[in-house]
Amino acid sequence: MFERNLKLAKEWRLIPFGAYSPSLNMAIDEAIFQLIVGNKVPPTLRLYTWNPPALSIGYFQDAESPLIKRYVEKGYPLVRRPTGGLAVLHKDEMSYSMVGVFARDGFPENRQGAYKKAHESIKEALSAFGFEVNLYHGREPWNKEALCSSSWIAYDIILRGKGKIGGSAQKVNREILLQHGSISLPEGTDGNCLGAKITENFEKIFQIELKQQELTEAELSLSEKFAKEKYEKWEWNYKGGRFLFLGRN
Amino acid sequence: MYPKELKYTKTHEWARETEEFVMVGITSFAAEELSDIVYVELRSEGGKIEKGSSFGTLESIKAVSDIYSPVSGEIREVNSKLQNQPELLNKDPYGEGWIISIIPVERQELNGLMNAEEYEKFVEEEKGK
Repeated sequence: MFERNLKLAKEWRLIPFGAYSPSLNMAIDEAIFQLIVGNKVPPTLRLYTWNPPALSIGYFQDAESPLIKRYVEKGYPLVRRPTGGLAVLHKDEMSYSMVGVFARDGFPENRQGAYKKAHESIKEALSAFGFEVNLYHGREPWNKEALCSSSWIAYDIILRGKGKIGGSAQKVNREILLQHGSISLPEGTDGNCLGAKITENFEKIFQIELKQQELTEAELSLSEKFAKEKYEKWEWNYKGGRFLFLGRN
Repeated sequence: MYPKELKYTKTHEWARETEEFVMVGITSFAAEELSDIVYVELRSEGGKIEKGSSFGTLESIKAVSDIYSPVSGEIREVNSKLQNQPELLNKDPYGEGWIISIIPVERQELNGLMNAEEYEKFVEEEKGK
């Protein structure tokens, strides 16, 4: 159904799979986002996971809510994302991030398109393993106290019999998008094989060619700075987002 | 379609000029594109702001977006209703959903903004992309 036309394929960058700390994962995603224009790098896809497993919360989410506190009390480190959305438990999962300038080099034209196409790619990858997955086409009421897995929006990834197993969150800055998401690995799934299928389907569905490259020196340096000065900080993780409203920043 | 008395930016903010200050919000196009806005975070009153820099952040279910100032100046007032009623941005973006007012240092900065007709054309081009 989806055939990649090599003549039209734009080149994106693929950052090799790695397992990183919660703070470094968010720092890397934000560094790529902040530098993508000046860095003159193409749209970038990154696959990663979390070591140790952790709870990530959305930019505006209340870290003091009873639900979040329960996970923190169980010992999961907490990190606040630069993107919106709700709490996600990153355990037995695979995460991805994509960063690009809208409508440039094969990157989608808008954030809805990015959400849909990325999820289609992941859905096709999971289907190739024989899982019955579909993209959600409705919308449940937004419940800010819920875990992300209980809050479904259009194009979220649903596994038959299990419910939502994949979703993403976004940050937009003028014409640049950072989108990252988490896929709960169905039992028995080999993460490496799934990763390979995801990249294959990103190439098909976005009509791109992924070229493996490491982060640039500037991205590595900015990632370290963001990790140290922001994502490891209690103030950001517990008080960031809407608690800065009306004058506290 | 867009209020004629306002001026507009390419990042979909509107500006209403009065004798004393410039009031700023997001356009109905931006509000529709974002869909349900659930959180708003704004810079504080009294702070200095540069044209083109961010004066706040919105979240609309999953997506966090910055909003940008059309002028440089001092933040005179922020709309505190938005903290508990972010839906005003969707319901009444040009009225009760105003976001911030700025005492400008250089009103000429507004000269580069689009009028309602130009903005409408700009939006049609964006939609057609």
